[in-house]
Amino acid sequence: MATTTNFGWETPDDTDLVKDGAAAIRTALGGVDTSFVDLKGGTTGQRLTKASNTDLDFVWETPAAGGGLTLISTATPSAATTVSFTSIPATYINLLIVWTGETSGGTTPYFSVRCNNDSTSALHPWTSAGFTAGSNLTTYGSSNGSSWGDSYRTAPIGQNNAYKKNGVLWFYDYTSTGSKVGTWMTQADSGNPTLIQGVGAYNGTSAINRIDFIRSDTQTITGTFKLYGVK
Amino acid sequence: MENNLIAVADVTNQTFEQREMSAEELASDEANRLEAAERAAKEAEELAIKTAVKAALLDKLGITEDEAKLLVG
Repeated sequence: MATTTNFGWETPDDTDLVKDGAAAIRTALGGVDTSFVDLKGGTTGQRLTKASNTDLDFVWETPAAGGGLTLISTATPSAATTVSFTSIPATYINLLIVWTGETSGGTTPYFSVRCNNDSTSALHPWTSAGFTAGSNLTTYGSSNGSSWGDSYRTAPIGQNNAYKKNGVLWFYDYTSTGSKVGTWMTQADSGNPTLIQGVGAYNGTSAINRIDFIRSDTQTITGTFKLYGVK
Repeated sequence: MENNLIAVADVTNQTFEQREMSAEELASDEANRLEAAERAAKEAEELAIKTAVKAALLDKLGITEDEAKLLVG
């Protein structure tokens, strides 16, 4: 019995009788029909995916929803002392906070970021580096932090002035029971142009469900803070 | 009067409010500020010590800071 090279479909032998041709055609096409049965079906928008390592084993699947950013909360503090995002659901993979036009009222230092209202020492190690126009690179950091940016005056949101500041803060794999990594970048847009970048970790064992921007002195905070969920 | 407003965005309930801090929140804010002040004082103290040590060393060597920089390249 002859077969095809790649799929092994049965074909007539050269010596088979012509009168058996109809049956031979049915057999050959039956093999093709069986082999490609997984290609049948599916609906608009679905994609064909391998179901196993077996040849021609496919399944139609609807692409998982996700990707991109979903705006899940907006805070617009006006001369507030603290900004809090609470009851953050564990339905995303990463979180992103974007702030625009932030000003810090008062003349004193900085705001820092704390996860889960957890002030335990050393659970927020962090490092950042910043440039201010006309100055050299300055680094900051603490391995013993109780919040990100808790030891110095320009991180992560920054400066003790009324210049408008913009920035982003990412929380990666925020539902993990292990260390959660945060990265931030912020700048001041006038007067004393500054760029600060930093990385920190939250080493608590719970998923992050609350994020606070806390102050170091009597200053206040004004601006727009948008929290995005990212899948 | 000192400002004690807290801005809270409840993500699950899709609410945002700015309100007076509770007694507990005030205590936490106070603790944060105290901690920051202690760190600032410690930093200032460490800087003052470094500065004093440097000045004493330069005095002992009888050279200026610029001359010291030239020596170490």
